[in-house]
Amino acid sequence: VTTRRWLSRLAALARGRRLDADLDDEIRAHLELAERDARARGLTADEARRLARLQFGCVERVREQHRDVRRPRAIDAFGRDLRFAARRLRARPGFAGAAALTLALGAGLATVAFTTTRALIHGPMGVADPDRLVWIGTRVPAAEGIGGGVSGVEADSVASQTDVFAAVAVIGSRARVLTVGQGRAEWTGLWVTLQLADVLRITPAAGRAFTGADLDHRGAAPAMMMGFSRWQRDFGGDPAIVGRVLRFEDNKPHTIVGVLPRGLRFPDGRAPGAGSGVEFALGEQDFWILGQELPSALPGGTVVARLRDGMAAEAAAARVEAIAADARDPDRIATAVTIRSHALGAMRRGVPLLSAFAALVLAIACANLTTMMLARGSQAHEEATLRLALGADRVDLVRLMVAEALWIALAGAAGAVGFTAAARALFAAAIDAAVVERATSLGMTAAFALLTATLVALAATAVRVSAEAWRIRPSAIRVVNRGASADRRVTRAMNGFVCAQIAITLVLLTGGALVVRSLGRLLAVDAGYDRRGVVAADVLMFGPPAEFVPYFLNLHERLRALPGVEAVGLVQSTPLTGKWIIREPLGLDGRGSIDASGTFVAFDYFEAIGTPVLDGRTFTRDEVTSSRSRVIVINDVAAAHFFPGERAVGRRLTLLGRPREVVGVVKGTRDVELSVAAEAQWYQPAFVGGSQVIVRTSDDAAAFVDTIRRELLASDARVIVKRVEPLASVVARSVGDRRTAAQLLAGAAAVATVLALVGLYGVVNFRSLQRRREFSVRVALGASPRTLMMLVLRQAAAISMLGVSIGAAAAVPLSRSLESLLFSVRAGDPSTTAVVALALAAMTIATSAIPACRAARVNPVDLLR
Amino acid sequence: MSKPESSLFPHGTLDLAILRTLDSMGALHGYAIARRLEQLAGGATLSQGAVYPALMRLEQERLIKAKWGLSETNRRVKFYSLTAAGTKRLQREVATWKQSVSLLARLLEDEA
Repeated sequence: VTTRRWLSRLAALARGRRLDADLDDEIRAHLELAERDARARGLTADEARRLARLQFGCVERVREQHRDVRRPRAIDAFGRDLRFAARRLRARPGFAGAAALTLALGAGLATVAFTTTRALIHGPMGVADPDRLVWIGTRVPAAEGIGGGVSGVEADSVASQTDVFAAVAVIGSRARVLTVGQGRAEWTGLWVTLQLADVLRITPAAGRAFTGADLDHRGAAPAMMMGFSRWQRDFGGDPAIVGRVLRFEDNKPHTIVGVLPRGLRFPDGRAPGAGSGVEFALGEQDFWILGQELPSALPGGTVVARLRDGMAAEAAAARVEAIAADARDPDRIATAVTIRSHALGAMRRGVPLLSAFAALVLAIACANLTTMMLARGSQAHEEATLRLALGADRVDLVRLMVAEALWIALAGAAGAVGFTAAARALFAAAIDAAVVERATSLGMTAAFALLTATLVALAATAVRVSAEAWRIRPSAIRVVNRGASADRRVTRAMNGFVCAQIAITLVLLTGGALVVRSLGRLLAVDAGYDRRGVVAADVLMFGPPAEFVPYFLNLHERLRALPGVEAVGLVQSTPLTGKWIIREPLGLDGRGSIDASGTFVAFDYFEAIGTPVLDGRTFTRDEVTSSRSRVIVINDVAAAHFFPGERAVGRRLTLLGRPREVVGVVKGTRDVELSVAAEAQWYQPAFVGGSQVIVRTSDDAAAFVDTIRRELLASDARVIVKRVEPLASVVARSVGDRRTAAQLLAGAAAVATVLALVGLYGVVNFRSLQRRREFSVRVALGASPRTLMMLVLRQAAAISMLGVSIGAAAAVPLSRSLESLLFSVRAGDPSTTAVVALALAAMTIATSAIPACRAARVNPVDLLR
Repeated sequence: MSKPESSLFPHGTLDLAILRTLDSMGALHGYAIARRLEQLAGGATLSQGAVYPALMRLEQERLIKAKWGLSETNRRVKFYSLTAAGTKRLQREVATWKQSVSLLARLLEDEA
């Protein structure tokens, strides 16, 4: 069959239906012409019709023959191969299942890595060209990402760099409370500068964006843009909302001028601002309101900018660093980071690592599948030889192997899709599963899984083909029948693949162990407070500040009276939440000042959160309720800085432009990130409307959450209770990125281990099956089962020890790439490597013991007979 | 794959007969080809339908080409004609056949 004819047949296959119709047309015309001729010869209509049909012959048969001619033979033959391969695989469910499982794990992990990476890097924000957006903030030493806290002047000078930035805007977070009927709802949103709509390049869903005229509202209700979901949910998407005035509590009316576009999620992922007093509601906002015209009028805002086309983020960062260099504090460097990479946080380095891990696991899966295929080939050797002897083409044999590979790939891809779904469900809390879902359709997941699985299966088949198909000789049939062992080169290749798998697995396990150990050390670090038994509740009190004092006094009494409650304190910012930490330097006359962060506390805050008071005392109730207190508590870092070797209590420090008396020294607390040591800190006594209630209980904190929430709700009708949760959850959330990275990497290492052990088992089992005859002879000659077992084990141990040594050597330099995820564990930490290597070695021995025991039980009579 | 059978034309000769017919008579539709073959056979019966699979095969081998037209009864119908490859193939096949026929004829005469 010439190629051309084959191609035309292939085309015909696609056109089959149309050709059937064409043929029917031709047959109809044929019969009509025949009838006409018959009538012309004087036959009646009936006779003519009958004769025409008679002469034509069986129509159905013609159709069938026509179709036969059209069907391309090669495709037909491959279809037969596929059917045959399916039957052969069904006959060997062990091989088929193991191969498909291997592919499912390898391709599944690759798919998880691919879809997660893609979602995190390309997840939709509802913003045009989001990769051109950057945050401008200060670099926080040793912490992930950047902080807010760019001064207004700096923001102005950034905005003047029109050759770098197309638009620059400043945002901050705001909340409003609206009473609708009986319910009070808190709206979370942003205050923005006019330019934000240009920075994000959005078009309102209804109404208009802010204009310059909105800045000067002359006593009228200030302009507000409403979030799309809020508009749909609370106002039924009524366009008449535009122009209406909504009266929020605390006497804050707003005129709705427009509705934000559907699907706008900004900021999505984290915004910089930990420690700068900014905590953004993430995702969709309920509203935007307008701040001031000039960024310089808005201290404490977060700067977001759109890069000009063609401007790289790195170049923009360099420019910002140059213009905003702050001589006062050399550690404080303003810079620009793309929104995407900032949102990735610790995952920024974890995600490429996950991809690298997934690639290595895929390599293991490929090696594993290859050894399985080689073993399978050796088992099918006899059959293949027979087929060749009976006249099969070598190409036929290859086609059959490819057909097998395709089935395995299909099953593997299906498994991989399941694996991906399961992994996503497992990590739903950690990876923003919704983002992954939005960014990656099932079709794309399936397509990627299928592509990966097929490529791996075909690669493994290529090795099988080169090892097998061209070496089988029909004349070898007798040798095969005598049960000779496999080709030495095939055996050596299989050993090599298993060895490589074990080496890669050790690298992955070491990496996973380092990251997991780091997480453990991080969670065990002394943060300066004791999270056990502590509940943190976020409350928002509206009303004149004069009413706060009686309210909080009352609240304190109520909570204190609960059985099991040991201490109750108030703080403006719970550690690690990034809320309202105030950055104000502490100064001492004649000794300059240092950067410090601080917050307002009341009642038994230090006792409640478990921060040890090292010297002096905490605040009295009078100091808290009086608005003229001039006392502060500082931490050990500040005390050691200003008064090394002396008592700090009783001394005076300058804070917020006034001298303050130090009444106590407490232990420093890790407030921004668990991995960052405490800086100088100060505490002032005060009540604040938006406070965190810290409750120390004698028992499990989780058990108190509901009680405390009820008590808070009952305390006053005006209070809004936001989050109530154990402090331990806050801490856990703050290391969420690291936890995710650790889980993903450890998961990948576990998958690799399973694959490598399966691969090792397969090869050892295969080899001992091959040597069954030899073993029988040995037993017949007096070898003990134990000798046989040791024979198999020794061989397996040789492979695994080589793999473990190579892996251990490679793990040390390779684990350096994990450095960003490590905490108080060194990359290449010898004890970790040693423990992991021993564990893996033990697992390989245990795995090879199974086929070894089976080999020892060989019965020579069975085989020699 | 079964070959279209015809009591009239031995295995493989139907294709040749169709090529020859198209060569001598130009573009024809299926019915005309079948009629012509019947005439050549001197009234012996042919399952006329058998020409269609053969025509399909020849078309796939690009020995003939088909063009839609209208039959005498105003039906949509394909008109088949030889391609250059078809003409060449016909010449070759005819030569081969002539050779084999004369060989066979001599053989049979010898035996007779």
